[in-house]
Amino acid sequence: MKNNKMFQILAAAALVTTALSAGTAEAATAKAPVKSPASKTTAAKFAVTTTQILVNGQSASVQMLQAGNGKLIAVGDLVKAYGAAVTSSKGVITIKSDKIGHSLQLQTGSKTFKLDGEAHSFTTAPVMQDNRSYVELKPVVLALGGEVLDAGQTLQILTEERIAGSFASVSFDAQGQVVAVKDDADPAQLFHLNTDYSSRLLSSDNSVLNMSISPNGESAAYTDESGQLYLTSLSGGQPFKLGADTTVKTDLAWSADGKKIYFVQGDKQEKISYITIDTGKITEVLADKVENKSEVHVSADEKKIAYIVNITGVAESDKDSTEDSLKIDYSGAGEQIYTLDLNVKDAKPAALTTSNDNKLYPAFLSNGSIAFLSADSENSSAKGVIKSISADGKIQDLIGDVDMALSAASANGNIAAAGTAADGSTKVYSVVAGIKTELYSTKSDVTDLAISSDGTRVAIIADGKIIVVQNGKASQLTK
Amino acid sequence: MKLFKKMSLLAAVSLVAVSALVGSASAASSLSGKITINGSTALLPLTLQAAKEFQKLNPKVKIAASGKGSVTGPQAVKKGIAEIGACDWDASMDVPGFKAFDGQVANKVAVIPFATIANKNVKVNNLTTEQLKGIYSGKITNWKDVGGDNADIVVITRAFGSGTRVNYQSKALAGGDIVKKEKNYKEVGSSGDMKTAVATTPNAIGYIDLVYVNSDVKAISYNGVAPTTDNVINGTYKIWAYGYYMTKGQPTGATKAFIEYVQSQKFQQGSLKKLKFIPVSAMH
Repeated sequence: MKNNKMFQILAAAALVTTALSAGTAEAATAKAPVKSPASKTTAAKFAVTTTQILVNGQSASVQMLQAGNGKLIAVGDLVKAYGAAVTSSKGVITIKSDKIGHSLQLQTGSKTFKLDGEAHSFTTAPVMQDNRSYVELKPVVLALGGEVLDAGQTLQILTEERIAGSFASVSFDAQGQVVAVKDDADPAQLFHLNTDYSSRLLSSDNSVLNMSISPNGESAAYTDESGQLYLTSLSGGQPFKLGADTTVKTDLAWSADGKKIYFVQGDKQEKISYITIDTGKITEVLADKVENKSEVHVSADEKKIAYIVNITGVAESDKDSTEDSLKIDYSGAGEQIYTLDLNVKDAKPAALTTSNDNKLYPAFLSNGSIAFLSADSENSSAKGVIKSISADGKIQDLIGDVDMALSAASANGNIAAAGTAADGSTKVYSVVAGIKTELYSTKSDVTDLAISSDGTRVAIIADGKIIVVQNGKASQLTK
Repeated sequence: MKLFKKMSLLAAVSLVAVSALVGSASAASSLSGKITINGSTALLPLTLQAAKEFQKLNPKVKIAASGKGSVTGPQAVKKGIAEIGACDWDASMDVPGFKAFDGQVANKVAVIPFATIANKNVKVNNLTTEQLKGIYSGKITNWKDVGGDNADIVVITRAFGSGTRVNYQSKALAGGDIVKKEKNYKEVGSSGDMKTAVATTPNAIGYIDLVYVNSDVKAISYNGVAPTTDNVINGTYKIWAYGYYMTKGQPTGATKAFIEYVQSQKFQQGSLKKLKFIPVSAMH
C-alpha cells in the first residue's frame, strides 16, 4: 500500500510541467508515461464511472471513482467546468484561473492541499489512476468559490456561489429572467437572477422597494415621497423625472407595450390616470369622485382596466359630534372589483362584484375574465379560493384545493397561486390556458410569486429564497 | 401566507391573545376576523392603504374603515362600535374642548403637518401667530390689515370635533379661539370640503392637512416658515401633530398586528411617506 502511494506520487511528478487549458488536460496527461506501476495498480483498485452531473444548470459528463469513503472526480473534468487552467510540476497539481482569483495546489496521495498558500485538508487524498488525477469534489469546489448542490438525484456544481440573502418582489422580465429585490440589503438592491445561478446587480437604492418594472425589463418606474414619478434604466444610468406632476400616485401599472404607466392618482386615491413615457403627459382616465381606488391592472390589449374600490363604512353623528348620536354602518364596507372600458368614450365603471369577502390580487385572464383571491373573514375555517369573474358576472373557482392566500399573474393572464394545505405545507399552483397544475410543495413560508409570460416558469420566494420551478424541477437560485 | 417572519411571530402571539380572531394554526398567517376603524378623515387614506397591504399578508382579516372627524374615533371605541379610533390628538389626555377618554391607549402612527391655506386670489404669503389669532377671533376682517388687498376675509373652519381644528387652534392660534361670525364665515365637515371651499371662495382662508395642499389653493407660511415636511422635521415649522390609533386598553390579536404593521419601518418609510405623511421616527 505504501509503495503504491509512492508510485502514484512519482507518476504525478513525472508529468511534464506545462500550462494546459482545462479542456485539454486529459489529452496531455494521456501522453505521459502510462505504463507506470502506479497506473496499473490504481487502475485495478478503483472502478471509474461516467456520471451525468449539472454544471451551472447545464448537463455535463464527468468521470468519478469511489476511493474508500470518498467519491472523487477527475481533476480534468472539474477544471473544464470552471474554464480554469491546470498545471503540474514535480507532483504538484496547480489549478488557477484569473476568473476564479484563487490558486489551488494539491498532490495525489496527500490529504493536504494549499489554497492561496494556506494549508487545508481533504478527507480522502487525491488519487492517480490511468494517468488521471481524481480529487474530492466538495473541498475543491468550495475552495474555488463555488457550491455543490444535491439537486435530487443529480449532483450539481455551481462554479460561483449563489447570492445569499432575503428576497422579495419577484417578477419575470420579457426575456424570462427573474428580477427580484434583495430587501435585507441597505439600501435595497434589485437583481437579475439567471438560470445558470449567476446574478447581476441592477440597482442599489431603496426606491427599488417600490419599483414597477417595464414589460421588457429594461426600465423601472417609481414615485418619491413628493409624488414625482421617476424612470430609471435597469442597464445603468441615473433616474430621471417623468413629467413634473407631484400629486399622490400609487399602484403603478405598465401597459403591455411599455408606452404608458397607469396609476391611481389623488390624495384620496380618487382618480385613475396614465402617463405617456415619451412625453411625460398625464391623461385622466377616470375621475368619478369615487375615493379609495387601488390595484389598477391593464388588460394585455389595453382595452380595459380593472381596479378595486375600498368602500368605507358610513359614520353619522349630529352637528355637535355627540357620542350618543354616533352611528356607524359597516355593512357595505370592503373591496369590490370594477372594470372600465377604455375604448368607449365617457364609459362608466362597471362593478363586477358586490359580495363582502376580501378580494385581493385582481388580474386579467387571457379570456377577459378577472381572477382574484377571495377570502372569507367571517368564517376562519373557510378556504381562500382563487376565483374568476367574467364581464357578465359569472363567478367560477379556479383553485380551491387548499387554503389559497397568494396570487400573481403575468401580463397575458397566466396565474400562479399558493395556499396552505391541511398538513401545514404550502402548495403552489399555476393556471395556464385554463389548465390548473400543482407545481411545488414546501414547508417554508411562501411570501411572493411570479409566473412567466409563456407560463412555463414560476418563481417563488420561500423563506426569503428564490426558487424557480420549470418542467417539474425546482432550482433554488439564491441561498 | 404572504407573511414576513416577524408577522408570523405576531400571528403566533395573537393566537394566545384572542382566540376568537384566529383560524387554524399553521406556519402561514392564521389571523382572521374583522377590524373596524373610525375617526379622523385626515388619517383615512393612510388607514386604507395600510389595510390593503395588511390584508395581503393576512387575507382573512377584514378591515372596515370610516371617517367622520377625530372625536368620533375615541367615541366609537368607547361605545364599542369600532376597535380603533383614528384621532389627530392623544385622546387619552384632556385637550381644549375635549375631556380625556379614560382607559384608552394612544398608539402613535404618523406625523400630520397642517397648513394655513388661502384662495389663489389672495396676495398674502405669510401670516404670524398674532395675525392668525386676529383673523380667527374676528378682530381682523380685511386682507389689507395683514398686507393684502382691500377685501373681506372669508373664514373657513372645520366643525367642532375635527382633529385638524383642535390642532390648528392649539398650534397655529396658540390656543386662541375660533369665533363664529354672522358673515364671511363657514364651517365644513371634512378635509376635502375644506379644500373645495377655500379653492372656490375668493378671499377665503382655511387650514388643512398638508397632504391635501395642491395647486388649487395657496399655502401660507407661518411666522416666516413655509409649510413643508422638511421644515416640520427640522423643527422650524410648528403646526403639526401626531396621528393616533386609539384602542380600548392595549390592542390585542389582529388589531394589535394591524397597528404594528402601520408602525413598522416597511410601512412608515414606504407607503406612509408616499401618501405625504411623516414617519413617527422622523420626529425623534
